[in-house]
Order: sequence, then structure tokens, then C-alpha cells
Amino acid sequence: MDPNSRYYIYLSVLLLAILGGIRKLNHKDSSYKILIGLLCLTFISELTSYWAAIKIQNNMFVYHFFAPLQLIILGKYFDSINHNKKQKIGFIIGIIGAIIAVVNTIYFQPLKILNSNFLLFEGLVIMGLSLYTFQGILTNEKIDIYKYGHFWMIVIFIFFWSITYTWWALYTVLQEKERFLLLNVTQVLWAVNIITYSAIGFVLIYFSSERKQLANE
Amino acid sequence: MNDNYLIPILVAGSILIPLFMFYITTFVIISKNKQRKSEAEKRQMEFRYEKLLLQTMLEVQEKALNQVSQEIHDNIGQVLAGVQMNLISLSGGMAENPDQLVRDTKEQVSHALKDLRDLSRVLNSKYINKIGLEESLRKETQYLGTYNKIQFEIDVEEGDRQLPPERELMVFRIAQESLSNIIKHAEATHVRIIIGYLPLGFSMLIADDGKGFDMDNDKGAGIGLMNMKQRVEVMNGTLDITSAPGSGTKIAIHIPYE
Repeated sequence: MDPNSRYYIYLSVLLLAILGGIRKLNHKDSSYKILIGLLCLTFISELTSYWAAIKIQNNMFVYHFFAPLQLIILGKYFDSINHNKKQKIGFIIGIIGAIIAVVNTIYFQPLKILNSNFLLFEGLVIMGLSLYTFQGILTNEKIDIYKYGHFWMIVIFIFFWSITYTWWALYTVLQEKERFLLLNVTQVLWAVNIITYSAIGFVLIYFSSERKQLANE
Repeated sequence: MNDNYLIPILVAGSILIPLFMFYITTFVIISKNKQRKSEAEKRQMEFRYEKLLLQTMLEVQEKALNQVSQEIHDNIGQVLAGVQMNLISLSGGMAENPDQLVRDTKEQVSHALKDLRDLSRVLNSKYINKIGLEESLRKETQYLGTYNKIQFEIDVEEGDRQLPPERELMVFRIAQESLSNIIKHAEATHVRIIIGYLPLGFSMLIADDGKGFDMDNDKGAGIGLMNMKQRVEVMNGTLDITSAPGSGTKIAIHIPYE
């Protein structure tokens, strides 16, 4: 499959996930709304990245801006689903992450190259926050995971970030020498993205706030 | 580090990290499934317990009504029937010694009134709270001793602390249930009640010299004992029963003061 077809399929899946989220938006809780916002931002960044790749032959700067924003929004999402509402761990980590991203861009990986250092850091943080949320879900006896969409959202995050975590590092290494292998890595990352956004779309369509209320009863 | 070493490490990491995360996710799902199953079992047990509690309450209520009915029929009813016969004899002029008959009738009416008061007192929780546990037990055993050939003995080990009135009432109801069981089933001649206000909590021992029962096989003892156990559990106390055929029965309860 040529890169353009892969790109259009990827954008279509992402758009479907957004449409699935927008459907019955008023019935969804604020945590889902944060995620839908993140999906819209991802869509815009992908379009910008495509445009930059064609117009200026380098789209890496898009990820320098998008990745820290993504971390802050995901931090807010984790705070909103964690049961101790007073804690703002996710948001604080997001802000610290954004500062680290700026430092990384200025001193280590400028706008023209992939900010893989930050992407690795981001992956680690999201996996950590996911495990922390799992702990909360495990200790809360009232939560029935089969009726609680946010549990499955965390499972999707864990799937996505655990696979892409080292693949990004591999991507950076291969970029230098093994161009042929790099193509395979890109395809793996593309497949993981397709599975991830399809699953997110499914959770957004299947689970509503009513189901969450049921889980918390 | 040389890229030749870096690539295998990164590929190994790419496999190990998802595997580790998959393991954790599976662990969470299995744990939640177990939690869900145990929650369902707990709910079912609570439902069964509530059902049993309701059944027991209804049974106790029914038993109390039967007791009242029996007392009225056997004692007060008999006395009043005698009074009626005396009055018929007096009004028909058939009495040989009318003055004596009037005196007897007066005595019978007084007796019936006393029985009514006793009956009303043992059923009245305000009265029991007012006179206290020890006095209530004495009155209860006195009342039961009038109609049964059982000798009751009460020993009290005094202490510095007292049970709150609502707990005293519950203990009294447990004692009543236990004494009612002894009268009905134990064929006992002697019952000893020891109550103690110990430093660590209140204790009560009710021991009879009756026929006892086989604790492993006698299912008939179920509801009454279940009722006593539930009352004790409500007060975070413990109830121990010791019995064997031919060796009587001992019921020991221990209840914290608060």
C-alpha cells in the first residue's frame, strides 16, 4: 500500500472516531469530551503535518507543538477519571512535560528533527498514569469494568503507548542507517494507529455517560 | 552505544514492554472479574441474610403473640372462668358458704390482675429499661417459675461499668428466648444465669441441666438460636453454645459496652 493511501485511511479512521464521539455529545461526560477535543486536535495536527510535508518538506515541527499539548490534555483526562478529584497529578505532570518539551526543542532536538526524546518521556508518563488509574479502578469495588468505558480507554492507551514506546526509539536509530527497515517500522506504527483510533471510536460510540453512572451505582 | 547493539535492544524492548503491559492489563481484568463475582456472592448472601432475618422476626413476633395468647388462655382465662362460676353460684343462691366464696373470688381476681401485670411487664420494653436487666431477669424467672417446675438461680458479678439501656433490652430478649427454649425443649429442672460486668465487656451465661442436644445434627434448634446470634452480632458480640445429649446446654454471650 502506498503512503498516500495509508495516510487517507488513517485520516478516515480518525475522522470516524471523532464523528462517533460527537454523536450524542450531550449525553457524554466531561472526560469523554476532553478526549473528543484531543481527537480533533490530532486531526488538525495530522492535516498540518501533511501540508508541511508537501510545502516545506519537513513536518517534524508539528510534533514539537502537538506532543506537549497532547500530554497536557491527557493529563486533564486522567485527572477527570481518577476518583480523587482533588488531585491534579495528570495536569501538573502535563505542565512539567511541556516545559521539558521546550527544553528538549531548544537544546537537544530542534524543530527540524523528530522530538523522540520527548515522545519517549510522554509514553512513559502516559503508561505510568494508566497504571495509576488501573490501581484506582482495582481498589474501587463499585466499578464494573464491562460498563465503564474509561477502563477500556486506558487499555487502548496502554496498547498504543506500550507498542509505540520503543518503536519511536527504533525509528530514530533506523532513520540514520537502515532506510529499508524504517519502512517496516512506519507500517507497524500506522497499523497501531489504525487499531487505536478504531478502538477509541468504538468505545465512544458504545459507552455513554449512562453506562458510567450504572458502573458507579 | 553502537547501533548494532542498540537495534536488538530496542526490538527486544518493543516486544517486552507490550508483553509486560498486556500482563498487567490481564491481571486487572482477572482481578476485577473476581471482585465482581465476590460482590455478586456478597449481595446474594446479604439478600439471604435479610430474608432470614425477616423470617426470624416474623417468627419471633408470632411466637410472642402465641405466648400472650397461651398465657391468657392457660392462666388468666382459667382464673376468670373460675370467677364466673363463683358468680353464677352466688347469683343462683347455690353457694354453701357465700362469704368464703366472695373472698375466694376476690383473691382469684387479684391473682388474674397480677398475672396480667406480669405479662404486660415482660413484654414492655420501657418497663424493662426502667427497672434494669438484673431486676427484669429476676421478675421473668419468678413469673416462669410460677407455672413451670424449674428452679431458677441468678448470680451477678458487679463491675464498674454498665450496658447502655438499649443493649440491656437486647440482652434481656436473648435471655427470654433462651429461657423459652429451655422450657419448651430442654426438660430441665434447674437453670443458672450468671451475669458479669467484666472490665472488657458484659458477659452472660445461661446453663441448664436438661436433656441437651446434638450440636452437629439437631437442625430443630436453628431459628431460635439464629435469632439470638443475630441480636448478639448487631451488638458486635459473640455467642457460644455448648451442648451434648444428656449433658444440658450452656449459652455464653460476651458483648462490648459500646
